[in-house]
Amino acid sequence: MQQFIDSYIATLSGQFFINQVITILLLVIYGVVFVGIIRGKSLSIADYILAYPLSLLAYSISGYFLLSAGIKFNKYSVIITMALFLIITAVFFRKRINIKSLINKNTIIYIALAVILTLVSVSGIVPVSATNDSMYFFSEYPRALVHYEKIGSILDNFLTDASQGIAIIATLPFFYGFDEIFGVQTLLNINFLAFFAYAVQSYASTRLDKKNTYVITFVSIVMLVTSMPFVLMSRWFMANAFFMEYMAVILYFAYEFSIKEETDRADLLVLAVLITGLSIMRMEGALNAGVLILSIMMLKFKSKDIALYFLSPVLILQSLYLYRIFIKITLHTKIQFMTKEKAVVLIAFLIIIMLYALLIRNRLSEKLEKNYGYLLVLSLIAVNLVILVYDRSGYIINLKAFIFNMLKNSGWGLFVPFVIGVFILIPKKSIKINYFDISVVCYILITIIAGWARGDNLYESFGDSGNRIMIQAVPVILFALIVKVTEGLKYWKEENLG
Amino acid sequence: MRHMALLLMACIFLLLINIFKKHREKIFIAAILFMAAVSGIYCYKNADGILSKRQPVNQTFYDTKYIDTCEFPDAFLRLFLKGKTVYVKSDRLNIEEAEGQGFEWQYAYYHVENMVSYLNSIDAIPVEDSSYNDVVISKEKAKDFERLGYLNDLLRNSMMRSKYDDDSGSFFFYLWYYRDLAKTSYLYLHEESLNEDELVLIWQPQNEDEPYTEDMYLMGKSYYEENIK
Repeated sequence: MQQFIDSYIATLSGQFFINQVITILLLVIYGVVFVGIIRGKSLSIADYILAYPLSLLAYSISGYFLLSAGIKFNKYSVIITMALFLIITAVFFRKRINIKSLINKNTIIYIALAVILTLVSVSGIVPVSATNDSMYFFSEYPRALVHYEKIGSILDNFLTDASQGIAIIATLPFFYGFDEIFGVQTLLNINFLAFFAYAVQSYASTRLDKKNTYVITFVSIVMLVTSMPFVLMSRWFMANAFFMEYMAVILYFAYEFSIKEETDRADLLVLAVLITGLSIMRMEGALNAGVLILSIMMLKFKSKDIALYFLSPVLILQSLYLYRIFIKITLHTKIQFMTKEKAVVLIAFLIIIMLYALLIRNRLSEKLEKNYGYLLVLSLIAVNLVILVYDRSGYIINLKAFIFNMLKNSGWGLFVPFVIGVFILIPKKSIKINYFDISVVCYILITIIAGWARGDNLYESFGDSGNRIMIQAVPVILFALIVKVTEGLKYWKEENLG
Repeated sequence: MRHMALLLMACIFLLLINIFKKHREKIFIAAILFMAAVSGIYCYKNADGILSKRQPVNQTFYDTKYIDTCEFPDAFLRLFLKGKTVYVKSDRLNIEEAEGQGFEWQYAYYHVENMVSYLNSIDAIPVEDSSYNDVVISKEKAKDFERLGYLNDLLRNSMMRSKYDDDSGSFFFYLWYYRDLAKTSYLYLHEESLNEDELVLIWQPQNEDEPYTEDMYLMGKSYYEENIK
């Protein structure tokens, strides 16, 4: 039987391989053109690193918009929407457009590298994992989306429980003639390693000498690829892998863009695409995006930019989608994560953040502004306490599940003692709480809330959704730790200099 | 225990950092790398036990190792049956007939319908033919077939193709029917006869006590004509 199936599949594999490679490369080129348009000057390493993740999100957001707006979703409409997005962007950034900046030696090297890495990614030599959810949420459901070209009540709990953003990315095979997107995810993982090295290198280079910067960059990659939760999650064909990587990308680039002397519209647009993409990447994604935006408010972005670029697209797209599934469509599902009530709370939450950004943020006293991060953490702790009082047993069961999952054999490996161990070694006088620490704490606190809001109790298992969403924080936790390591080395260096 | 061992290591390194202050940066980095290596070795040894991996060199979601685990036969079927004519039984019952025979009302909605809608969704050409209705694959003949995998998930998720725009088409009932009411059912293939464009798919209850648990047998039409009919 195995021989029969192997030989049958072999007749299809060649074309599948070529089609997936071509699809990925077209996405890469789209991404490069997009960053080329908005930058208008020679692209930096960061721009090249962002190109592929941005193009994947452009596809995902375009599809999400079409489905939410009730417009036919097919390979032509999604391409037209992506093209329109590019054209509108080009119109807004027309003064910057400079073909020479795009077509140059660096871009050719980047494309050549992308071809090689795409061939490696699609070849299948890099291991992947697939489970029941991978099959039905991210292969069969996307196939149904392609079949129907719209969302309707027939899709039932897939509309209230599945990650729409990743399901849309997973429609690529069924539009463009292949069968799975393991290659798409593997290339994103490779791109993420490049991002992580870049982020650490950029951060450390402003604090350490060249040699130590290289050392710490190397160490950070070792830390990442040896941590079991990252290894397991990144190879698993699930929305969590995408979410985990995009969240780290957003938190870092928000930081990097915010320390520039002047805010660049291009940076804001990049963050807008990333945050909007993240908000549709899981059913609770908009909740996470909201808290992420609250964390980003620690940085020196203007309030109106936060409202316009980060919050508006999330709010508009979520409202559109929730309106479609709860008002335009009659759902018969009795088991669902996203309910009408939760949808109302979610939209209200986003509106409150919007109002805070527009009306209150600029009027905070200096003292409050300085302590904004701590207040944010305290607010989330307060919400957790309210839940604890409201549903003591449910909250404690979920909290225990989170902790046991981290400490027992639920995919965390030695991550927790490793983080504590490294923390023990860091010189205590160098430790200062920063934006990354607060963002991590906020994410953990909102994850506990989201876990409770799921309705069912979480349980001890690698595959438990509560455990998976907690694992999503791993790269950000590691980055926050590396920041501490860097600051520690800097502190010792300064101490040595007397 | 393993957690404590790593923390103990960290404490030893902390001691070394405080003793050999001149080399503390190097000890610090070496300590991180050492602990990361321990973490990495642990990961390397245990990760596959938590989540099995595969190398998708065949470019498909399906992998032949799923034959052993009985997973995702639909990942193969959607490739294999595309464009092929599949003859099936036409033994639908209406609600009165179903309830008269002691079935739950869902049987009238799901039996035949779900498999046919699934076949349609993968661009196979299902042909319902009542001449197959009384066909039973005997235990003797069943030996010619090999098991490809579980059918419950395939059928449960055929909800996405349901024609019922009410409760009966909901995830909730499909889950209940194919997880709680039906026990594990299997798809069997007659490998040697599958190189045909016309195939026959026969479903039948696994045994008399499990009327909702239907195994399915897929074979070439010529094999069916010569050996089963």
